[in-house]
Amino acid sequence: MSLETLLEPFRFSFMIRAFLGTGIIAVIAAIVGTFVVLKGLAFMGDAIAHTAFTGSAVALLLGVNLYAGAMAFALMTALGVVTLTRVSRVKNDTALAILFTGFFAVGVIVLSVMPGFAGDLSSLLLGSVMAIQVNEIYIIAVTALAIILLMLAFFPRFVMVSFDPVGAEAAGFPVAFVQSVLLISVAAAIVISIQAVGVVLVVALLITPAAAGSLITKRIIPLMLTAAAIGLFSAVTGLYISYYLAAPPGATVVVVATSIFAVILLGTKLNHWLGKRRTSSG
Amino acid sequence: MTSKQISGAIEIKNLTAGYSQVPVIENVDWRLAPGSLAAVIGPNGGGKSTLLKALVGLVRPFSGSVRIFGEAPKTARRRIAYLAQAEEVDWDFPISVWDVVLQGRWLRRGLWGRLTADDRERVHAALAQFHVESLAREQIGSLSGGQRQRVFLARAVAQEADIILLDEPNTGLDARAQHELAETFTSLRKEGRTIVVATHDMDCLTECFDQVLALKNQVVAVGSPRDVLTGDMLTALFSRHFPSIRDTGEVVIHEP
Repeated sequence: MSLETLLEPFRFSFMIRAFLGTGIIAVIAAIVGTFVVLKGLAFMGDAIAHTAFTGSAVALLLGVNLYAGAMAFALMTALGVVTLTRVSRVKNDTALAILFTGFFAVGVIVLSVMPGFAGDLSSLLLGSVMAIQVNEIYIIAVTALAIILLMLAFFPRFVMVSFDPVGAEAAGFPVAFVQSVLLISVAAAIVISIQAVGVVLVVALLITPAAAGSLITKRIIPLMLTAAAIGLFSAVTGLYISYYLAAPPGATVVVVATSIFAVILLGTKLNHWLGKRRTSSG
Repeated sequence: MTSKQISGAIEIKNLTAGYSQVPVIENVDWRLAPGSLAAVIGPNGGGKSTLLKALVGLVRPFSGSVRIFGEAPKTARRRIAYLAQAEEVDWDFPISVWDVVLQGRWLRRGLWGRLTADDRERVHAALAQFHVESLAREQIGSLSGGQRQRVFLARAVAQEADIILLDEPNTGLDARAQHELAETFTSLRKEGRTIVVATHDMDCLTECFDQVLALKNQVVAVGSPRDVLTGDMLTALFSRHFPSIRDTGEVVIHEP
């Protein structure tokens, strides 16, 4: 690949914004996604994305900022699950299913009363990375910075409540508060990621890089860094492929990430098999 | 002498607790002096785990009261370390032994505190005390069952816990590891800590513990092992089983 080929997309300002926005999103999603993978919260991520869609629909109806609407509903879902689980003692996934389907149903009803907005909402469903505007880059950057600051401030506490929440709560640690902060970070990452890949594929940006990283390392900080690198590589490579093949950018980014996961999985299995063969022949 | 010194480490009065309005333990009274090494025994479903969880507020009492060093569990919980059953821990979690023990210091520092060099010194000391210093960089799940228990006890010491509650710590341990764990309890007791172990394991009850609480939803018996571990009491506790105590102090349960 020549330098000219690499630089060609940057002749267009919309491509510069796409690379910048998607790159930030991919890194942040992979970092918070590490906790989502470790805690088995993929369903939570999917549910938050779908309720964020409802939030966007409501925001369109009310004429307010889409991100604000999406964030409001994403936070309601994340914090609602924690509250509902504690107050009613229903299981986590049950509480999530109740809130997720309830909010999504509201979104369907909202859509039915405003068919004229179908175009705007379809871009939320499938992403519209090439349409990222400068003000949206600011929103993405500021949200990403806030998430990084939360990670730096709370990282050891996030690890503690993820690894041994029962032991931490028994010692009087405010587990529910820390879990809520973590879920707020996840919700915020999802909301800014929807712009790039849409509601349907957003979970892939959270889950796939972290899951691929977990095949390589058993330490949490290297895992986060590996996930972030895989996320960033997927975003950049996906956008190049999308640009030259005129493929849907969000979907292409996800396909690249999934391919990386598959390659790493095959590589680790092959390595394991070769190791066993060497042991048995030795 | 302060009020804390004259209080029991654990005082339970008329405690009824359970889940979803269904009581698991009823009308439990128990007082444990500081520095005791106590076993809670009983059949499956008898309420051993529920009792431990009620002590740290993980299960709310329906009625009755729990006092820890004279205080409500909510205010005294930083003085307690609770080691859950092994199956409740995610052993695949990518965390090193060092970071697990360091969590004891984070628990001490609370939500906003920062760690200092002294905290790291305490972690080093706790790892050394339980002979797991050489494993500091290992992932927790790569350790044997006995090593894992020692790491969690090191975390409890790093937390400066005065009371350590262990739920079925012997599960999955071989005889040697169980013996080493029992020796560890004795050394922790010598430091003045109060140890409470919920266990199925009737081996070494008389030699390892100075108090036994026999629980089958209600208190069946409480006192020294010699007083509690009578054939009649154990038959009442385990229904179909007929235990006896050997001269060595080992308790053996025979099927009828």
